[in-house]
Amino acid sequence: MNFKINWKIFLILFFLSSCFSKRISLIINSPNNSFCEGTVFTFINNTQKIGLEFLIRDVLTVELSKNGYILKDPSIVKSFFTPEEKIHYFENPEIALSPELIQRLGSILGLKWIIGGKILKAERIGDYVRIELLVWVKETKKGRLIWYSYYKRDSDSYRTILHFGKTSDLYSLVDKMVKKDIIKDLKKVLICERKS
Amino acid sequence: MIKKWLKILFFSIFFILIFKIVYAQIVIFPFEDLSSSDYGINFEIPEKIAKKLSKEGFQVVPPKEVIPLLIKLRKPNFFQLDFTLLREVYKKFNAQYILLGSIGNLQKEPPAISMVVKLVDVSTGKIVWGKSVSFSSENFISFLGLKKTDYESMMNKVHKTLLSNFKDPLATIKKIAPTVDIQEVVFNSRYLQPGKTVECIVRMVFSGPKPSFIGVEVEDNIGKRLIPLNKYTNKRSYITFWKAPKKEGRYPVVLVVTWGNKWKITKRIFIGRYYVDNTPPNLNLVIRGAKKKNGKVLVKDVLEIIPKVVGNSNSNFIGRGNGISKWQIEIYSKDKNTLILKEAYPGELPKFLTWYAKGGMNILPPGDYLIKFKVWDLAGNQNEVEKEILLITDPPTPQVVVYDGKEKNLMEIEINKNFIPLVRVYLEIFNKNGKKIAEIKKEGAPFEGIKKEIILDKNDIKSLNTLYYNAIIEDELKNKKILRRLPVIVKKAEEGPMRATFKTWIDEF
Repeated sequence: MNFKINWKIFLILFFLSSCFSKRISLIINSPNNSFCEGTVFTFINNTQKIGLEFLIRDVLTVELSKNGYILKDPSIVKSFFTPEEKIHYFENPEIALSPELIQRLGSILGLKWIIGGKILKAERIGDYVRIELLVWVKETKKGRLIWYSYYKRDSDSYRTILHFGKTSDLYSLVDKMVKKDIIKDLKKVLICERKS
Repeated sequence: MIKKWLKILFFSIFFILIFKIVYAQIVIFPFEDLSSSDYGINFEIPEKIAKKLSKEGFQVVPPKEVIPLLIKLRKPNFFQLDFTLLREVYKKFNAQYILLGSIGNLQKEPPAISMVVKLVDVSTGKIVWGKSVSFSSENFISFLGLKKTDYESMMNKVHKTLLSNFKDPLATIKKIAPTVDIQEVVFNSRYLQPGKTVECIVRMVFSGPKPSFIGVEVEDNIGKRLIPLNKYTNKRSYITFWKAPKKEGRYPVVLVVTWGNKWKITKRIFIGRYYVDNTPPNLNLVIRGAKKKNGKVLVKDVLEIIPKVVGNSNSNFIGRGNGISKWQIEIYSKDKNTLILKEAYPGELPKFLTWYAKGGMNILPPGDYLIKFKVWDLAGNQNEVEKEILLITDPPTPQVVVYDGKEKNLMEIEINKNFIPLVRVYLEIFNKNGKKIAEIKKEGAPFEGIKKEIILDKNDIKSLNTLYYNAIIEDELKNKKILRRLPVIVKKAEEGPMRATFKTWIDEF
């Protein structure tokens, strides 16, 4: 008898433990989460520092996801390009991402926005590093550009006292720039009101 | 009492076991290493992460075990995820998450690392967790630099930071719907004339049960309808045909895949569009630097043809439907009534075509010519434009004749226009010793020609045969002729005018 009761208690406990997990509470399909879901495309890199474009994309993706946004992996989004669009995007990413294509991606994948950008300058001279970036956000309802910003940071941008906070590495500078500045600005644009 | 304790122990073990089972399986992919000049793959860091996670009690599949699946799926670029890959990972490992990572910077001396890791949900493709770390020697500055940091200790810190807030991903999905991913789409032509057959080949990869229907949704003369795709040369390729509609415009093609039975899912994927075009390309032929006079196109020594296709205003796909697939040029000599050039080339129109008519290998004599230019657009529509030109490569040569008389000599100079008026004539006549004995100078407004008679004194010129002249003659097209030391033609007085005209007398005066 006692054994049967314990079984029931166990099952109840088990289901409850599943229901209250944090991960599940994040997946909400409420009409209010209108601007929560999106993706970050690889930045256009006009510099010699190859690889930086992927890193910026990934840091931005991870940081946005940490801030409660729902992000689709960009490669999955690109798998919905037609073969012709893939070639066009590879050849000229600025033109290839047409409003029509953005609208289609939005409707298929439920994305509300797409973030992209361009690395204008990235250089390292000795211990001194400098980076210039353009970041933009396009909404998927009409495929329009809704925000863009220019960022210019160098080794001393995040310096505090003496040489503490000084950056002599481009990747660390990108990491700091995304975490300290870009995310702050993006949060003002991508207003995500979700019921949890 | 023992029984009770045994029961408690049994339930505890059972509960822990169940809880472990519902822990999601995480497949760790090799990390993308962007730190080397040519992109590489890093196994060392993800293997260590796998070990650490495993120690913590998570169920992980280390990167080396994933490689055979990636080879089987022919996915060398496994960083590029698609739903088929996600589903295959789920199917093979019963995994619900994939841990992906990219390394931006990795150096041992001085130690520095930049890395991003993210956890992707295989059922949705969404990123459920992620972390980026970036450490360099500046992050480990100690008091007065007493403590030095080496690579190993930095890596330990990296692992600790990475996994500090790693969420316990629970197994939530029971099944993943079957998927399809497009690998290639080939149309026989994207641009067609109405009624022509559209041929479409789709190469795709499936994951999951066999679909009950594979086809495309198209619009043709009958209307919007579904056309099934049939197997083509290999098991991944499918082919279908349909007639292009009568109405000009652009038409989308959507792949439709249905899984019946227990799934009841239909996936619609846009695979491209084709254009129905029945309008010939609007061709415009410009002859660069040419002058139009009395309805004729006048060309000097260089014939430069600029063919251009201008978009049709009635078309809503300007510049796309009017792409050129082939062009042809023909040049006829109207004077000789012969074809002197015929060339045809595939592809886009040239920016310009140049023919040096006066020099080089293909000299063209002055005269009337007819240029025929033909273009075919990508749909096969054709258009031809003709242009008549008059080629004038040289200004006329002057006629300088001296008539040998008994008392006086009469010199007659005549320059007549060669199709077009002249704008400059400068002519000097010299004797044997280089003394200038006569001169003609005229420039400014265009004039038809010059005719002048000069009476020369017999005493001044001993021998008429030694006279010569220099001249510069320029026509309205800027064709220029420079003549040096050309002999003056000597004729008997009886052959020419017998006496000087009134005009000559005035000139001399």
